[in-house]
Amino acid sequence: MLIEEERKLEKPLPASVRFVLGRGKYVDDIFFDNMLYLKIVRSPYARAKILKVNGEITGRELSASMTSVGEGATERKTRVNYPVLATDYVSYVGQPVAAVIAEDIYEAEDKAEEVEIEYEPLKPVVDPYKAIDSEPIHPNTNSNVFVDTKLGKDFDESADVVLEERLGCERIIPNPLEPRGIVAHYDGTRLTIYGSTQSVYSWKEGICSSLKLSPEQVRVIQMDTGGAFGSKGGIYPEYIVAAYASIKTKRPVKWIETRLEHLQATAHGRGAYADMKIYARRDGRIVGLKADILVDSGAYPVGVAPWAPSWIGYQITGPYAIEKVYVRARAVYTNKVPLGPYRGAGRPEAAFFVERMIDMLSDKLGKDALEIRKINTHEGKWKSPLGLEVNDARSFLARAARQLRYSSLKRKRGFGLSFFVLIPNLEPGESARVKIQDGIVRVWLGGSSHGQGHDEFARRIVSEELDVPMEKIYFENSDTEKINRGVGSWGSRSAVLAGAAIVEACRKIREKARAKLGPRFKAEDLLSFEFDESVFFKPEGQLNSLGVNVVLATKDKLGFGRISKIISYYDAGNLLNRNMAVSQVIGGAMQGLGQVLSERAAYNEDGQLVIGSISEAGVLKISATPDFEVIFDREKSRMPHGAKGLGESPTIGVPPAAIRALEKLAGKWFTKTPLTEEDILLNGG
Amino acid sequence: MYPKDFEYHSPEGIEEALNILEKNGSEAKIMGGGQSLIPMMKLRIVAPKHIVDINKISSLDFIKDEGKRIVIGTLTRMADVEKYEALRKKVRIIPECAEQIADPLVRNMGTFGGNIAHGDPNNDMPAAVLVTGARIVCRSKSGAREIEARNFFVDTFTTALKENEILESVVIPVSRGYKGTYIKMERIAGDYGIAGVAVWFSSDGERFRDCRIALTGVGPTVIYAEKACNYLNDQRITREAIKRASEVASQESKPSDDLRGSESFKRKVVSLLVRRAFEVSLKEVGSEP
Repeated sequence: MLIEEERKLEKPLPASVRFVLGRGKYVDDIFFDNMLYLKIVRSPYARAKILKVNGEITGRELSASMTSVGEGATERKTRVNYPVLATDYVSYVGQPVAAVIAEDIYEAEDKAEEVEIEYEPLKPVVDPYKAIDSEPIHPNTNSNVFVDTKLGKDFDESADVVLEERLGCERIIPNPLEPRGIVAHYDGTRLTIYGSTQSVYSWKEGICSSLKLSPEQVRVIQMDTGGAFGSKGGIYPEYIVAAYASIKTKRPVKWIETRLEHLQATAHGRGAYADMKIYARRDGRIVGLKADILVDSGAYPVGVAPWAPSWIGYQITGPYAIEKVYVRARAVYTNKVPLGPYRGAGRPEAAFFVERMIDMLSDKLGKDALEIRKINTHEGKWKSPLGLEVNDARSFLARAARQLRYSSLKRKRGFGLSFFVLIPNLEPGESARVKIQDGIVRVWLGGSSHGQGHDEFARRIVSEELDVPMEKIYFENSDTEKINRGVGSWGSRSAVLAGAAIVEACRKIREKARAKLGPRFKAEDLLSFEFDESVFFKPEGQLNSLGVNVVLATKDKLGFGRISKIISYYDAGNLLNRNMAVSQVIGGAMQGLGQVLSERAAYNEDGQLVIGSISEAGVLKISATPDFEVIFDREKSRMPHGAKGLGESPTIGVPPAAIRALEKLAGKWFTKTPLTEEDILLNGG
Repeated sequence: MYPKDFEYHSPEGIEEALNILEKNGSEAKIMGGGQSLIPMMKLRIVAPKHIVDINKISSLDFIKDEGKRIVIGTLTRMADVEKYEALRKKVRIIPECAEQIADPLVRNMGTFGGNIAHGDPNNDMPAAVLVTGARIVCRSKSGAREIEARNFFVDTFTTALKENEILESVVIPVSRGYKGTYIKMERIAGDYGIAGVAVWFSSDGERFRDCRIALTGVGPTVIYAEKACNYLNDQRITREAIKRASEVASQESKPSDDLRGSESFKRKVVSLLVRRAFEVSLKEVGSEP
């Protein structure tokens, strides 16, 4: 039933082709004869005491806690325990409280309705600013503020212009097309996990840690994964329950998330706010920046919440050379589903905050959008007071302006420009394995595709490095059994790190082949022997890249502002596959546009999520697509294959430029995402 | 996302379907395209004990052009309504409305009758049939009766259709010289609209005659904007008159605050849509105000 055996029967097809042919194999495509179906019973309240639970699997029986793994994982100990199944109290709508298993999903759904839980509802804490001084939602803490860090040195400044504004990016529901899912299969000695995931290693670590299993007892295999956007990198209570249920029954157990569960119980993204203050000279030069950042962490310190405030703070200066920076960065508990990474994970928030301030400053001083950005850039290397490295921002901006025909574009009324820095998540590196056996090459990476098409660049690099035809190269999804150590795919890292690891693995194979076959061996020679090399590539230093977006907006027939065009000018290094890169940029641009126009995880004052469907969550559809123009500034990086990060760039660059374009039409400042339709009804209709 | 147990019936004729309804009363629910019913069952918002799938009753899938009226069978797919030439020529508001419903996947399955019988104030077709002066044909074992579309929509998810009746067809009068259109504003394509407006009217070139305006998604049911219609009848065709009527229609709407906008914003949208609908309709015949 496993992928490997099936693959041998066919020629390797690009994943994109397999999917179009309907030959993708997702976790919900797995069937075992004796498989059980898991259904989670969730809290209907944002905050309540649990008086009684009477169900098949409860927290009394499965008394385990969640650990922080995956992107932005923290080892920081907090006093707050995140139970797999809540026992004393619940802290968000959708929190798992009990579980049932049944022979089919219909029966499981019926059984779930029979689980008895008695609650005593409490007043929830919903607004992150009110949470600061509200009664703590966790009984063993003194405050809902659980991160309060300061970055840089406080300063006094008497500048010509001081501009202050509270800005915010509201929470967004990730909404990949394929929701979360897992099949756990315990055979009496070992637990095999099949998952829709961004990281088999995070899952393994999380499951081992919660269930006190040894690493040898657990294998995690990534199935084809239909989107994630950050939401599938970490571990969730449902996975622990599924693993536990399989161990308990010694039968395979499947859990597939419904869309409604996804809306309520998959970590939301964004949810960051900032009180920004900039000090500038009359010519537009910013001499100082202060930011007071607040992250709406949700109920538990997993996901990115403990790390997000200072991560946003670290890059709050964007690509600009600002000498004085002082940041206060806080995270608060609220009665919402925990916050997680969401495409960009902190980068879009930081860019939104600084770009909004720059645009507002340009209005205040009557400066052109490009001029005010240019005057704040540095020629050559710049390291911000908080440690962020930016290279040649001034010349990049000048190149972008030329390429984009800035002087003619800026005459349009609905015009927005953004300039940003992309920091790929390089820590602690990434792995690749290249194996030649039976006349074919197989390649595994530490983190595989959740829609990006890792197979495209991986197979191409192998083909170029080993001079082997593409039809002999098979890409396999990540599997803890196939590579011992790896990280995962997030943070614009895979092409850079896993790509470099493939290059190194191939070069090792070539060295060994030379030793065996002499200097002039051919592909056929190589394929008739066996080679197997694994490499964990650890980069040094930063590898940040720059990007510019221009967004145009026009007025529609009813009088609303609408986005008509998105132009991207990104430094993506040496492009490994142009089509895939362009697709990444367009998809990400739509996601960035969704943040500005409609995507929002809206809660009411009772802490109830008022979103009941993927449409209500505001995910844009094809009819909202503007025109796109994608241009790459292809300066090779110092990586062996010259790659740079890209995947998150559009979600960083598009929101500030899009909101600016609409703001120019509306003639009033916008301070948060998403806008409402009312905001973009021009001249009040 | 998994429905409760139910018994599935698949009658091949209307008599058989009516027998099942007669026997099971409120516990039975007719399923046409299932585009609203199935999601509601999966979310367990409703849990009918008997599903009466009428998809095998092909006699309910028809559009008949009878000259002075066009009759549309309940099982006709929205995609077919969209494409039917005689409708385009004679009562264009109906296909124009059909093509704005959800997305092509939904319209390939979703039925004309279902969109009306569901009684969802956010469904588009009720406003369009209402302004054309259509009559709804409801059949039970004791025979058929016709209800004026204006009297059909009682409350949210509640219509004049009785438990033992099937919405059999809709009779749309062909009124020469009438023009109009349906337009709506959505936040996200396929999501419930913020508001929708159907206008249908006659004129003698100078003055409005017999104006009909109906509003989608801004009240417990589709709303017939009677005051706005009364105001506009016999008025000269001017921008001012249309603007005034759009304001009256907006006062007649009863929207509520939700994700898609505040009450006051939705009223504003109603008035923008009414204006736009008249402007578009008048432009097409060259009598711009």
